[in-house]
Amino acid sequence: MSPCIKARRARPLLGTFVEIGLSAPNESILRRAFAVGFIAIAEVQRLMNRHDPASEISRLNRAALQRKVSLHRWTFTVLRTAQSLASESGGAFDATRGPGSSWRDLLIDDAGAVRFRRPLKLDLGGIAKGFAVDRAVDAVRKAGAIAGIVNAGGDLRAFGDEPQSIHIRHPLDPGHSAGTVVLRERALATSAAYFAPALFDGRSGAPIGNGVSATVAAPDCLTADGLTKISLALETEAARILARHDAEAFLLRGNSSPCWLRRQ
Amino acid sequence: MKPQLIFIAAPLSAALVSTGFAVTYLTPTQAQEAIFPGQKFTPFSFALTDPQRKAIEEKSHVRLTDTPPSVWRVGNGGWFIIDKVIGKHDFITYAVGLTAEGAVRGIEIMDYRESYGGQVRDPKWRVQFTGKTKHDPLKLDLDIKNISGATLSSRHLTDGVRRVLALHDVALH
Repeated sequence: MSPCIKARRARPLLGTFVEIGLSAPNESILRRAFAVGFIAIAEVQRLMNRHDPASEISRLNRAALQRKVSLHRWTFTVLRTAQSLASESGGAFDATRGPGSSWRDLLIDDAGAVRFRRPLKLDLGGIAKGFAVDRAVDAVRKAGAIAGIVNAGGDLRAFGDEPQSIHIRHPLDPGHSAGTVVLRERALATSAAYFAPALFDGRSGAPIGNGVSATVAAPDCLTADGLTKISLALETEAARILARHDAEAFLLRGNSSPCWLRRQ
Repeated sequence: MKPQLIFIAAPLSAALVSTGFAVTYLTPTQAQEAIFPGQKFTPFSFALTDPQRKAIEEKSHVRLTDTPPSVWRVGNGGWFIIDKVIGKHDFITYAVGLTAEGAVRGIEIMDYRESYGGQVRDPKWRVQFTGKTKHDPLKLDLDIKNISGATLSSRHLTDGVRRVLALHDVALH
């Protein structure tokens, strides 16, 4: 094997800490890969951060009740995945927010334009981090990185030939590790209400995830991220959906052993 | 059949952080090179007067700590600043590069540490998993730096950067 150098960098992005760890054949490729990886993440933030009034998602939320709004292809990709996960999960995953609104109130055309059928806000925060990780992995690979990991606040993806060990936070005590998984050429996301306000079941609005975490491994991080919310809401009923996406998942509830969401 | 994900439970002692989950990303010299490649750096000494401290806190809405940031003048007229922020559970040293005009040119986290104090987990957890695996997660701990599951918010780091910008406005000329 040819010699390679490794390094890790972290920057504050997406409201959290984004870490990129890379192996590259030389210093200049390494430097270039870090640069393009963080640029890809920053671009997703620029498009999909709903706390930024200038983002594309904010513009959409202000205008789409009155008229069709065309979206950047990245935002459109995330939105299409959100809609497909909503449909597959019977609305357990739902990126729309607002009284009485649901994913069915979005009118989407093939050209990448969206219109709202009723007053609502679109919130891609549940999966945009996963998508940002995927875009960063693409970018660092194209720049010549051989292997590595991109971790956006706990949504992560490993690529290349080096297995990566990942700690899963304890659901009752996020300062401790509940255990580890080993990942290779795969994405992993964990959702729980550790530090954030409670997560909600899109169907009933009921809070989920207190004392429970869902961890999903999938081929890409956008999918893994979305499937964590479905796993928390549907538990064993999510097994069919997970299988369709070539994904695996387990729940950690309190101090119990992992509960794998597999088809019986 | 593709290989399945394997979960290795941690024993009670495998604390993520009370043993000190910490990552060092960059030394000061590496951070300088990352933000301003190829430039010269000259340490810049300054002392803040009380009115200046007050002005910085008022502009940034963030309190100054007892340890002032370290500041360098960059060959191209910019500024390089190393500062620390302390959150509820995390300690971060970070570097900010400013252009001569005072715009942010880059932010790099230099080290990151999580600390939760001495919480003890339910002993039942230990009983359940001790000896259940031949793997030794403690050994893995030495080089594991990845955590899945939401990390802390970066908001107080954003506050820190605002304080650096106010410092530039008030005291770096």
